[in-house]
Amino acid sequence: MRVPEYDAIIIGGGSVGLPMAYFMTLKKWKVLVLDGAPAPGQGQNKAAIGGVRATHSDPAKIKLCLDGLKIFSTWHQEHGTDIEWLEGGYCFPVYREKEERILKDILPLQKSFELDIDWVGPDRIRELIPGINEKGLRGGTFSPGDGQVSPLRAATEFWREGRDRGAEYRFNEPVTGLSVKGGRIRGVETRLGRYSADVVVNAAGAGAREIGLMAGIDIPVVPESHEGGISAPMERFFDALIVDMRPGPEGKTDNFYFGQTVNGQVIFCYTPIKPVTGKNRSCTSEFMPVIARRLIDLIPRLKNMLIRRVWRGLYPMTPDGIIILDHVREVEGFYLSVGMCGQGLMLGPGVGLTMASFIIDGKPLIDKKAFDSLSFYRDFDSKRSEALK
Amino acid sequence: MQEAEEGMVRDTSAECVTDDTIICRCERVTAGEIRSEIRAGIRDMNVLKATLRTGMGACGGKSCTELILKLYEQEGVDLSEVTLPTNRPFVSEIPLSAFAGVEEGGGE
Repeated sequence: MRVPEYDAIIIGGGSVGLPMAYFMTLKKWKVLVLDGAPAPGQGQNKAAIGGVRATHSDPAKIKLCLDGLKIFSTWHQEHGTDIEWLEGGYCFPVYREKEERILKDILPLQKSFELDIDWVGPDRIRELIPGINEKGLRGGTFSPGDGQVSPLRAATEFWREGRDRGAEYRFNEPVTGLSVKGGRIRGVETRLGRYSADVVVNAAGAGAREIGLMAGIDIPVVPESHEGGISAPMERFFDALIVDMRPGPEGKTDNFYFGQTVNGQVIFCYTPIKPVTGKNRSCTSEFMPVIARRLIDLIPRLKNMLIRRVWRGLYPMTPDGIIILDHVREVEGFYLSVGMCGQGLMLGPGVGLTMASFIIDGKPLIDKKAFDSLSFYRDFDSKRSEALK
Repeated sequence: MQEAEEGMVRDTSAECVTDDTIICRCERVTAGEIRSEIRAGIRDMNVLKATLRTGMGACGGKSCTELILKLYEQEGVDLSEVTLPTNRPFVSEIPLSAFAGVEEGGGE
């Protein structure tokens, strides 16, 4: 009888695969992580701006991110290493009735999960965001328990912790094939060799669809690109991650969001009103002029901020904007942890924890109803949509 | 100190660069900190960005990248194993006002 080399092989060493590998090693599993990039978190993880919140409107995402917040916020205490956690909360300033209604409508659901979030008046918003444009400011929501981390530091520390507990990592080694025999996964192939395991997890982010196709499984994950930028460090003047939900007057932007990192840099991003599909990661000349006007309109004094760097990253989108966590019925031993829709960083630790439990102990950590709502076999065209992404 | 052969220019950089020498001037990262990461097996300079912040400052790695490559060589690492950091715009820092087409200054 053939004995597989590993208990599990995780395809993708990023926001999702790295925490999952770490949590599997805690359950004494022998794990191999494969990634085509040269080091941990070098796919889309490092393109994230670092916001971590549990204040969603989808029950499964709320639960997964509550687990994530707990892991990130206690990281330094537990492991002694710094992932630049800052518990500054999330603030959604509101200028229009429409956004006020959306946010107030989901408060009861959020409170039912005991999330620390409330509607606050314009005075409190002015305290949270000094210098914010006061014209027409109606108030907003604030959730002090949310926060931010450095994505790349978090990825690096998950990798180190996993490695110290015996997980193996092979970078610069993209998966080129999956070995499936008799309806069962047997391992993976790369240009350097074959590795055997009875469990293979697709955590390949923007490349998840290609990995699925290697086993004849078509996963509806399509990358969309978003651009981001970061300033030079400045004296700290706000702690919260700020989300302006209004679409921009220029017709290019949906919401936009930004925060100030632990070392004082302002980091920002917007959601294009028309999704940009594909894997192109070259910066455009459109991003900065558009986001500059939105930032200055919201906080006029930001006009003096020095911009240091810009980049573009990929959001692996599903048709309904909800992530996919499941076991593939057609291929025994093949698991999906894909379609994070741009929230892999904040979802990653909770996803890793619940998938490690689902795969190893046969039941997810979050409740079954919430987990089942993330099924690969759900009706993606059911027009289910989140009030708050 | 060994005498260099006559007519040869001897590379003394390994001796000049002590562990306290600053290699990344923007983020104040020393040769010692970088050497210890190299000895720990780090071959992707993007990881150095994460752990030490080399190249994350104002210049974007324009001065330290070459110096770090030199440290890799001195540690006996084959440079074909080393991944260079990703270069991104901008070449220098630019005020937000310049992108928005508004006047700089004041506004506090």
